[in-house]
Amino acid sequence: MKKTAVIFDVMLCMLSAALCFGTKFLFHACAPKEDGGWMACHWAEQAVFGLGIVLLILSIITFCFPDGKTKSGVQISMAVISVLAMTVPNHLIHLCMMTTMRCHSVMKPAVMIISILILICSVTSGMLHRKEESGI
Amino acid sequence: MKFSKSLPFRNLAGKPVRTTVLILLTALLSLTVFGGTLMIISLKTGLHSLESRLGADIMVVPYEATTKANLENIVLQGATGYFYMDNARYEKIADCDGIGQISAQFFLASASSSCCSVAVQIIGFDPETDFTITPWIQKSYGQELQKFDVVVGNDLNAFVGDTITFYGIDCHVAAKLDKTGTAFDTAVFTNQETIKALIQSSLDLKMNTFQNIDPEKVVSCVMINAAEGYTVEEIVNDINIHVKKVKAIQTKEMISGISDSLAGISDIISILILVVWVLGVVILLLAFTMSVNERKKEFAVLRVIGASRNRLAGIVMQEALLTCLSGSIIGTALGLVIIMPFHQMIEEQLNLPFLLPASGKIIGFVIAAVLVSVLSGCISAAASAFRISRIDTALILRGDN
Repeated sequence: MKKTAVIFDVMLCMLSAALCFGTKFLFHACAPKEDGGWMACHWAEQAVFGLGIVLLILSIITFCFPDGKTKSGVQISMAVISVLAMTVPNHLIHLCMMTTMRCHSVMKPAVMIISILILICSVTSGMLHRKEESGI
Repeated sequence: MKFSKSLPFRNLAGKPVRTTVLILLTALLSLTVFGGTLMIISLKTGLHSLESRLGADIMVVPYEATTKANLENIVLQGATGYFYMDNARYEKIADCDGIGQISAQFFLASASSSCCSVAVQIIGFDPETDFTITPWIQKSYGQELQKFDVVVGNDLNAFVGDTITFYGIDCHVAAKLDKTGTAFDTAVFTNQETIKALIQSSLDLKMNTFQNIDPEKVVSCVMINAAEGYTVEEIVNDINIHVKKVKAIQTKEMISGISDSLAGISDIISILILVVWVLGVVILLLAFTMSVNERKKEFAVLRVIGASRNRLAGIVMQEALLTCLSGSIIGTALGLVIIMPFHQMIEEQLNLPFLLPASGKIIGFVIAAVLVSVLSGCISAAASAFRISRIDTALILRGDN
């Protein structure tokens, strides 16, 4: 049980890093306009990057707590933040005009998939840590 | 008996590396079949959609438009651009023999204004004569468009009730079209009254490259359907000979390049599916054969303690079924995760019409891919199952196999 929970904790760490750095370097939003200005999607990218940093820090903090209940609590907060990350592109912050543009076709689906994976891993890991704590 | 305590499941759990490799192999098979088939079907659906959306036999444009080499990009690839010709040429074209239906269209590219981070193509049509755009707009919007009403393509991030501004004029989004998988998904459609006002506004703001035109006296292109008894070639030749400074083009010719590219890509994907499939089946056959060979003694012991020949074959087949079923489910799920959310990116990369089939059809493909992968795995294992059911127990246990 403990081994499985640790595997999920490591996966959470890796997924958070993927969300954080991937949004900035791999599946980033549209390039700046010709005049150097940013389109709306850039701010969605920045917001997701910020949330990614928070998730990454929380996932690292999880390893510092020996107590299963505390780990579980941190992971519940990670689940909530991952839902928030899902809603940022095009819901909380509008993306560009055409859905054929990079922010819609690359950034949004990538953020959605990684956030869903973080949600699944954090809920599963949280449950495993709670079970481990209660000795079931 | 609990499933987790069944012999085939425990056999698989006892050899995690072998089981994982077999599962991954089947996953690759089902991913290739499902992903490849979905890609081919989506490309074909996109081409069909483009053919039906063009909806006219002939397109007549000003001659300059064809020399600029951006005509096909504007019509087929969604590039923004515009060109105009005198109304008088439209009248002359209408007088040619064999014209069944004729309607003018008006093009304008928006500037990157408040609504749009990029320019979008605005296409105006005459509701009284139009026969190409109105039929599919009516599927999404049953009413007549009022002045400054626009209908937006499915790929535009604007919704019914929104207001979008073009050249300082606020337009009301009356409807959003269904996805077509073509360049029309990024266009905005409106009636001729609105587009003439927009062209005038672009002229007033000095943002139109054509400065000496009167929006009331120009059209961008003319769409024609041939009358019965006339061939499209005859009408095209007639227009090209008798009407000056215009070029009549058969719409079928315009999309022939796309058809060729699509046929090429479909062939490549089909060959890829076949190659992966044959390789996968051969590897599965070898894997099951080797697995059964190294476990001959195990099966002989089972036979000695009373397991029937059918039971031994059943164990091998159940193991194959479990690995293939889980592998094919993983493979198709992976295919769905790659193609569904990233279909826009695939469309952009291919630069071809790409339209995913309806969800019912996709579910059908998922089931078919799982079934085909499971069936192939089971067929690969069947020979090993038959052989193990015929083993000579005494010979095997003596170690003389």
